[in-house]
Amino acid sequence: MRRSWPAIFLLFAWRIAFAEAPQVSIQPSSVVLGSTASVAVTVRLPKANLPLRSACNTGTLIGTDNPSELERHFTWTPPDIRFPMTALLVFWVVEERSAQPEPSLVRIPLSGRTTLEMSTEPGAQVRVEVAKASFGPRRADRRGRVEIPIEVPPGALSAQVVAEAHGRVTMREAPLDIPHNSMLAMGFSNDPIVRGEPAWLIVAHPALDPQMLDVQLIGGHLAIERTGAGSAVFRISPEDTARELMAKASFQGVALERAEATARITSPGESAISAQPRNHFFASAMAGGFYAGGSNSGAAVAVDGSYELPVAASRLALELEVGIRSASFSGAVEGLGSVHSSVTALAIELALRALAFERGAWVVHGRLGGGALPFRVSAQSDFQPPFTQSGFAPEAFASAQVGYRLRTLELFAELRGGIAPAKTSTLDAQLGGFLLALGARYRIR
Amino acid sequence: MSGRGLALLVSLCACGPAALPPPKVLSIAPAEMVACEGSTVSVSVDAVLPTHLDYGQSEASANPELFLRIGPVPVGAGEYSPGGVLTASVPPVLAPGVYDVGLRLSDGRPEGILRSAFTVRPNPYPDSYSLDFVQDQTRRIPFAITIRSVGPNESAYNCTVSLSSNRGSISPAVSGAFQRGVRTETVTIDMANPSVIITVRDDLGRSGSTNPFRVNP
Repeated sequence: MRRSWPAIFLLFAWRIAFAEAPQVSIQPSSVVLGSTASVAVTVRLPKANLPLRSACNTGTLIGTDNPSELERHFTWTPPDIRFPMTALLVFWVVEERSAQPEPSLVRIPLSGRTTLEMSTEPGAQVRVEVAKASFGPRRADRRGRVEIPIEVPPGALSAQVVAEAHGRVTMREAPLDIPHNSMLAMGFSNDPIVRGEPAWLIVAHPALDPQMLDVQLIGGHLAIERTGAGSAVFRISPEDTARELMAKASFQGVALERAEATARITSPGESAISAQPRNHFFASAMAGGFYAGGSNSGAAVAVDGSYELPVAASRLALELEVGIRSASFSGAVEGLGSVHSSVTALAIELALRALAFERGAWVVHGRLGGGALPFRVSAQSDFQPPFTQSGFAPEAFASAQVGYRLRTLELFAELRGGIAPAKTSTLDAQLGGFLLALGARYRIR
Repeated sequence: MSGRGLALLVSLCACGPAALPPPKVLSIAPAEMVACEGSTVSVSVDAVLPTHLDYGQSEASANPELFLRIGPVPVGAGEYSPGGVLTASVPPVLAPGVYDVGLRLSDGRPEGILRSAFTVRPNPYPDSYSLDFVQDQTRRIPFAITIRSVGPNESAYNCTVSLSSNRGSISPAVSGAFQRGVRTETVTIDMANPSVIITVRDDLGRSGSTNPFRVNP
């Protein structure tokens, strides 16, 4: 049985000149390839608002949100493979320009699923043991054939097949043909690297042997600073004419253990320009429909710009929403004829968004807002001239958004309850009610 | 979204009047009549009735009540006709002249007025009137008098004349409409007198009188 408790990995600095290592926790702590969609990663910073860097040897690591000044959330998505390996995630903070980074390493075992097909005595009870886990038993058919699905953790090179028939037990070792994947992870302490300022290259491997490590740097020079538990830190110096650094790491004699990393080089002036703070602006769009009884129903579309407020750990955002809603109605007028009318409203609203819940890529927001809906009603009939009227409807609403984050994009569904009475001398309509919409939200870079 | 784009969207959704347009009288046909004759006219109007669209109940209603007038005289059935063409009878009560045609709806919007749209032409008045010989009568017993217009337009006169007597009072005080210049009116005199003369007079003051006759008690 897989453990479901978060695995917490703690590393601490031992010299004042070093930056403190961040604390990293993951959920779940292991992955079954093809079954586990993603891993939620929480990184706790040693100090508030420190720039956080990361690298990984496989898969995709995406920052999702910053629930507080001391915490960062990531989602790691496994690679599209089926054979077992170990994913290595490396995090470090850039505390001071001169402070050497202290990386934190997280290993995520990626188990692969496969089905072993075996031949044994007809009717034998067969089970398979892989790295202390047992699968089966299953009974072999009349021809002695049996298939047993197994999960193979990283590092397992063979499976033990145990067959029991007629009181006799036979054991046999079956080799597992598992491709090798690199476990080297590497990254520059900063990207871009500012010429003239201290910079480092971090190389990590669960079984790092500095004697075996071969690192080449194109566009600069490097010197080993220190090695630690599973990691090595190199000081790097860009060449005067280089605009980019490329590092290639490998283990001597192990062709499959390799990693690459690149970083741009800027001058201090360029760095000041490019060192933009994290953007707090989001844009979103959604489309759906609303219903408030009777003919108070129709389409609703909206675009939204929001600004993440620098308070409450960035859990609050102020939003401006502009949307269009429409409804229509046809009916008979006693003694005169029939009429067809439609109402079109432009919704201009302000809202306060609050992050209510977050787990992995899933997120729930609540929104409270209100605004004005300038609207126009038009009517055509077979007994009198067509006419239009305009007016303003006030609106207040509360809503819940359930979202799923994909990189910088969040897909969401919103359920909104609101009131927006639209009244004129001819019209009595409600443009609020329940509104259900699907949309996407994007953090503007 | 740019400010200009937002303004355009606002104008698309909020442009248009907040109130319904006032009614308009587009035309009236025929646009004239002869005084005292009356006429039936068709009035074409552009009117949005007081309409109510209830989206919550999915119901629509409209109030067809209206007030149509020619000059000071209410005309028509008081209700809207689908298509906006109203038919109205104009009573022969309007004096010669030019009149506005007005239309007002039940919700108090300003009246729509077509200025100087209806003309009442004067009658072709005769030069005078002659009355057939009247024999002696009895007080308060009705009797007939015949009034004839005299002059070049005598056969075209279709209006009325006022009635008066030199002794006592006569009823009615106004005759009915002439038919091709002739009117036979039944009258009563309320006072006995040995020499009563009945005089008729039109709007222009042209007149005629009966012979003197006795009204017995």
